[in-house]
Amino acid sequence: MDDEGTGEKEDEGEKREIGKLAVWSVSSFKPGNGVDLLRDSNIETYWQSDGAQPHLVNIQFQKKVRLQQLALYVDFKLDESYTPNKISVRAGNSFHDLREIKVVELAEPIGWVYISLCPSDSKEFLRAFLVQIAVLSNHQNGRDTHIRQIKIYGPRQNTVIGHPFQFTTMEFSARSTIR
Amino acid sequence: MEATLTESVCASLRVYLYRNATFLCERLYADFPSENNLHLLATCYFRSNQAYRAYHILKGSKSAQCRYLFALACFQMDSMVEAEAALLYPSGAGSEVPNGAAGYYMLGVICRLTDRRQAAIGHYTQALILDPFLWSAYEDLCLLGAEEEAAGLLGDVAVSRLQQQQQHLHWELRTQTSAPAALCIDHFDTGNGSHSQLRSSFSNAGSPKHSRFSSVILGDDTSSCVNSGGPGSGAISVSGFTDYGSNSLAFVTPTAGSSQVPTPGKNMQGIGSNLGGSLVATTEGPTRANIAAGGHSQQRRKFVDEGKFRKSIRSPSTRAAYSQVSGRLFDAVPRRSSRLAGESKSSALGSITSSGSGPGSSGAGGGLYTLAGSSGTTSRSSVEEDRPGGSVAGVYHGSKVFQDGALELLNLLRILGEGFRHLCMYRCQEAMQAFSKLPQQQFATSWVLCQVARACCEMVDYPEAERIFSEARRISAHHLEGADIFSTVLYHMKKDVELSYLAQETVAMDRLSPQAWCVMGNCFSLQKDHETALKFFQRALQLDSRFTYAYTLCGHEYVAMEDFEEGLICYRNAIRMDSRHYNAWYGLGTIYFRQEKYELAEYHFRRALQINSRSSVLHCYLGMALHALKKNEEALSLLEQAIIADVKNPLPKYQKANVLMSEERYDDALAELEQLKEVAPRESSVFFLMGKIYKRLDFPEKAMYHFCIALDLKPSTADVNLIKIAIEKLHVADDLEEENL
Repeated sequence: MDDEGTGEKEDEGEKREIGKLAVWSVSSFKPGNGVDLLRDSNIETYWQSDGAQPHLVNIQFQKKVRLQQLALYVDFKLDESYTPNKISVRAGNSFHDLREIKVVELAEPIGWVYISLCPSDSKEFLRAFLVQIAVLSNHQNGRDTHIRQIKIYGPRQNTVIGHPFQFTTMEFSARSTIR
Repeated sequence: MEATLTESVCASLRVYLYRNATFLCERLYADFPSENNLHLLATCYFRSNQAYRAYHILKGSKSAQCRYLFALACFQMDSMVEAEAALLYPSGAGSEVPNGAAGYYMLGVICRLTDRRQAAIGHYTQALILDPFLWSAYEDLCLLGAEEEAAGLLGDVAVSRLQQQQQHLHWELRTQTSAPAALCIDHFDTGNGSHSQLRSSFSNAGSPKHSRFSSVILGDDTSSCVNSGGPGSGAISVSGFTDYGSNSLAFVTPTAGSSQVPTPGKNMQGIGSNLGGSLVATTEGPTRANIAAGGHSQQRRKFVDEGKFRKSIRSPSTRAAYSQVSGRLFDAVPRRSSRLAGESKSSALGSITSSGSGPGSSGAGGGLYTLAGSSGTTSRSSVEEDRPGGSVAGVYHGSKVFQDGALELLNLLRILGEGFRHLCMYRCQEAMQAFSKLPQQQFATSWVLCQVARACCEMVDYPEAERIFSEARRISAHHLEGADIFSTVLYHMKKDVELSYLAQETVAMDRLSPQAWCVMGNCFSLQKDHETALKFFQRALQLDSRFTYAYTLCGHEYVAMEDFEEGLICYRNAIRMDSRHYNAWYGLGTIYFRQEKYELAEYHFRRALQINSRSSVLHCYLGMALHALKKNEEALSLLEQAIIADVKNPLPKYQKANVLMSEERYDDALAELEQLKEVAPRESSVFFLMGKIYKRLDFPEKAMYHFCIALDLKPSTADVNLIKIAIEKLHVADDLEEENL
């Protein structure tokens, strides 16, 4: 099941991709299909795991960041038994401190899968140092998994300082900053 | 052959055939390696955008013109030290700045770029003293913030100096006695001397003040009556005028009864128009002087001197003197022309002199008059009438017209200067008033309109600014200087369609213009694609590494991407380029505010406010910084100032309500917010704040009412969350509530 996949496109202005602030690592990979292919903005290339389940993708930030959403690109038609089936998202401060935030079950997904990281009904953001994506099982009981791309989003900081709100009217916003 | 080659080279240069000119000049220099030919060759290279070649061949040359061109080449190659050394050679006392006003201007630019503000101001002032029409120097003075110096320079002082000059010239003419022709022939004989003299006269053409400086040059090269000294001394001008007077006399005479040759006139025109204040003029001057046989230069000098001469003839009392002088002139003519005809070297010279003098004078008149603008045609016609009869009256009329022309130009520049000065000091109302005094046709030019629009932009009157910018672009779409500010205006107004249209247009117009890429960057920034916007701003910086605003915009993008380190670097670079760029100071303040280093934020906002003391937004931000430092009374007073500065600015009122709320003066805060509601009825943040206040005042129903209105006004999603959280926590006391901001 996709989580909150539909409304996200309109919110492009509301979130920023912050994967570049993080260190990415994986539990195992087949040579030639390593972790960099997860972040190369190319859905043709994929990461392939090469070990025992669960396969892990770790995203470590240097400072505690606010996280809003996770997006995975998977394709059942191309990957079939390599396509993840059950994904657990964990977050915390370190590897010993992870707690499970969400478990997502996918059914023959093709395209982007959006997973909201906000703890309760998209009001507050997740604040963490480390996010771990665990692939618990694959379709057709495959051993290894393919993920083609992962993006992680946090909220946009307000451009006007000292003020939590984005101004809605032009009179306010035009006078709120100097460019 | 030398004369022919020089003539061909100059002809090619005149019609912009630089490759041809370069080739011919190389042949010329191979056969006759003199310093003048070297200078001509360097000019050819310089014109063909090969400044480095000019640099290499001019290294070590001593003559004033070569030094000047060498300095320009060094400047192009970013070698400031060498440029300065060349201009001030020989170093120490007795160093003479070549080309007077232009040389001082170059020195000023070099000092400004090497961060020596006082020295730069001194040089620019000197340049303006020598040539009040050197607008670029005035512009730079204003940009440096040297307001007092700038204010005096285009005012009555300049007018009085102009009049002084004429008096001197007049006086000198009166005292002219014998052998004016001999003197001028003398000058002609010495190749260098004539060249330098001619050059100096050309560079000075159009302004009597130049004669003073040119006298310095004369002193440099010729052993005749001119003594060198400071440009400011009146004594020099006397002697200088002597030469000029004599030469002009000698030159004026051939005017009578000569046939028309169009080209010299054109030359003069070019020079005249160039003299409007661009540096290039001075390099062209020498080139033209180098024209074969110096005939053209002769003519030019003639025209220049003629102009000065005419100016001196202003008062009726000098008429008598003039007739005396003219008598002598006519005597001198046959001597001179025959002598010139006899000169092997100056054979072409003679021919050109005789043939070109008439049109030359008209051209000179025209050239000089292009400076003056409208009076040009009248003077030209008057001069033409003059020629056949050789009548004094015509020339007299011409000189008077020239004098009026100079005054008129000075008036025009004064209005423009006043407006520009006020704008640089961010006194936008005065600037707009000053610019509105311009005549309609001057006002409707893109430069003026861009300045006026900038003034509107600084006053945060964005719709008006947009209107004026569009007008400017309609008039001349190729003027890209103001496009970056226009894009900022559109950015503030969130008009993405217009902004992308502007971006496409400007980039199509000139892919190598840094302003066009700034517009493109602003366009993407409005779409919140900060990385691409940053890429475009950096492209603008590649094209012009001294473009201050591009640095500031880069800084804004880094801040939007929350990369504060890089943002600090960019803002600091912007300040390094131009310490009066208050946007960069503001940017630094915002970064420190975000990092909660409130004292630093306060310092930077204050610096920004020092530069632009009328900006309501800056007052507001300083108030916010002070509020964060818990200096609430000061904060409130600053916010009051912000409100007064711009009544339509809702932000300081909002912040004031914030401050009042933190001081628990809830009723005052509510009063402010009620006022604000009138001004901006659809702003959800206002209602949100009111809701919070009501909650503090323990009116949960009212609070809920306001929160709901806030929600209804459709704020962004993040804010929706905030409001929803607030609603949920409505019944929880404030202390327990954690603001998740």
